Amino acid sequence: MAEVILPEWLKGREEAPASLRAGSAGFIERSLVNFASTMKRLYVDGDYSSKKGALQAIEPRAKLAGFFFIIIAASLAHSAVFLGGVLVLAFALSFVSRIGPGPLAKRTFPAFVFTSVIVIPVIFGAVTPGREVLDVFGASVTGEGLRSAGFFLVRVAAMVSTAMLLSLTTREADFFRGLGRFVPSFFATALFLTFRYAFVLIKTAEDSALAMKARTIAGARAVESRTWFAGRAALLLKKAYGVAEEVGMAMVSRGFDGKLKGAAARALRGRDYIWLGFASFVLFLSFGA
Amino acid sequence: MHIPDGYLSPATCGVFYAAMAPVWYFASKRAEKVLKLREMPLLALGAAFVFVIMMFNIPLPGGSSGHMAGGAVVAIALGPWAGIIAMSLALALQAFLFGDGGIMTLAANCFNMAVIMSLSGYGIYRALAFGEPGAGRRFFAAAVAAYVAVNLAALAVAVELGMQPLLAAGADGRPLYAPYPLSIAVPAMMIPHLFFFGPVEAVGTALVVSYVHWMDRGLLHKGKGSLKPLWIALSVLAVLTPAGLIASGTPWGEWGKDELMELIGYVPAGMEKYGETWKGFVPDYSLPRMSGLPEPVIYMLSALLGSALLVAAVYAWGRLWRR
Repeated sequence: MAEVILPEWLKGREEAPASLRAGSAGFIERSLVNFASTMKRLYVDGDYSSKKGALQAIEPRAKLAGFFFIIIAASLAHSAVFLGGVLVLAFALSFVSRIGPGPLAKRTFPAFVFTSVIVIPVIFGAVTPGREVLDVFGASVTGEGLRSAGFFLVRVAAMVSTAMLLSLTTREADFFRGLGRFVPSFFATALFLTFRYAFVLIKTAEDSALAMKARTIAGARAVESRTWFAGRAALLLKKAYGVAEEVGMAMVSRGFDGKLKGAAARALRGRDYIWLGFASFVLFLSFGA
Repeated sequence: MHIPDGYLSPATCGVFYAAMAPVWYFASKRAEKVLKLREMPLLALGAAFVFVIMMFNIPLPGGSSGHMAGGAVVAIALGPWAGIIAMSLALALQAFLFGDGGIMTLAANCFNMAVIMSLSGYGIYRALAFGEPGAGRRFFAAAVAAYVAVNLAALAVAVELGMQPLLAAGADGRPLYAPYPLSIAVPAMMIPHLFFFGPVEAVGTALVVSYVHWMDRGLLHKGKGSLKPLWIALSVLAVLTPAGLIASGTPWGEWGKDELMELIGYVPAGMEKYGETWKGFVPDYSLPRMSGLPEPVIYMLSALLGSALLVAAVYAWGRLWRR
């Protein structure tokens, strides 16, 4: 095979002038990162939900009901110890689901960091008066403030990690099938279609952004960038209408008459009852916690 | 603007689920009537559209960029009712599968971003873009509609968060949910929305609406039908929701004998006779003849009994009405 010789001008990594790189080029990359991370997350979550773990084996209806019980329990509880217990429970369940604490912590992290940042003022005496325990550059940190902030953080972490565990351990098809037993099938089916076709539109948007990035040597002017965004959004809307029309016709041609009929669910087994019993036990405990 | 789980009290979340249930029902019926059999794929694709639109970074004059919420643009494109459903679907998908916004707070998020943004955005756009507007007026109408809509939604979020310390506090006065009062929550939420997220929403919506109109005006909602039911529903919700949020005391119809005596001056004879007959299996969470046990143990046994009964009920339900 002949050796490929690159010309000298192609070997260098000349950066575009700063004045051309600033601002408008970055938004395409940021959009691309958003599209790519969403796609990646959907695929990775699919891997976790197909593992042979304890939670993955539970029937979707029972699993959804159980997780809702625990989330409601964490919402009702007034005790930090109880909320800490729910948080520990979520991470313990991540082990028996063969997911491990890492991916669960990674999913919980953004909400935790966001809450940590916005809760910072609560610790100071100006917002939460009380006994001063620390002085930070002249501002007093109060014990009451620290307790309030800590309690709020534990509640958010417990609820978000429980919701994330539900998402990680449930295949999308099972999730929508289970949801269809609790909400009108119109919404469950529409939600499933939304999920399915969001992929198509994200891929279209990603391809557009990638093509724009490939064609942009330095940076586009802000006006051109905004026109590009408007054009892509309009294209997506047009594509959404087109796909909706095709999907609608395909549904009608297969006998869809406006009424949805779901597939029969399998009967609940022993492990489903154990899960429901355990989750409702946590819920009942929260009434006085 | 997505409120995560843990920020709102269960009572507030319950009020919003109760408020949103008829809105979802009415909007789905309305969308069904207008869109016929095409309704579901179009709503789902509309939701997928707004889901993707939220991921775009929009470059602003001045070099910064940000995300839009999309409530106004989807309402202008699909119409207000379909907009409410499509936006609700997108928010539900984000909450259930991506953890953006909570599950308990889903109805509150839908109220803020689907109902308030869609209705106000669509209404303002229709009012400003009446007749046959030129490109400039259409751009202006869409920008104003989106700017006002996103700020109204942000104000609703701020009020909901700011009311939490009033609604739920621990025995020591410590806030149990979002900890900031209205005096902090409103400016903290409104300043970034008035000066940054509002302009992002305005620029994004105006660009998309103008471009779509120029490319294929048939893609935009025609604005047929009366908006009267929409405004009536919004007015009723606007009156009821704060009332539900700040309501304290016993829920209507759940009065005890003492409260009834205080309210109407007497206790009805039937209630006097039978009202206290049934005290439940486990009155006040205390198991009879177990008073010697420590309170936490009795409490756990009560919870165990409750969960066993629930499982038995689910089992019986599954056997009798297996689908």
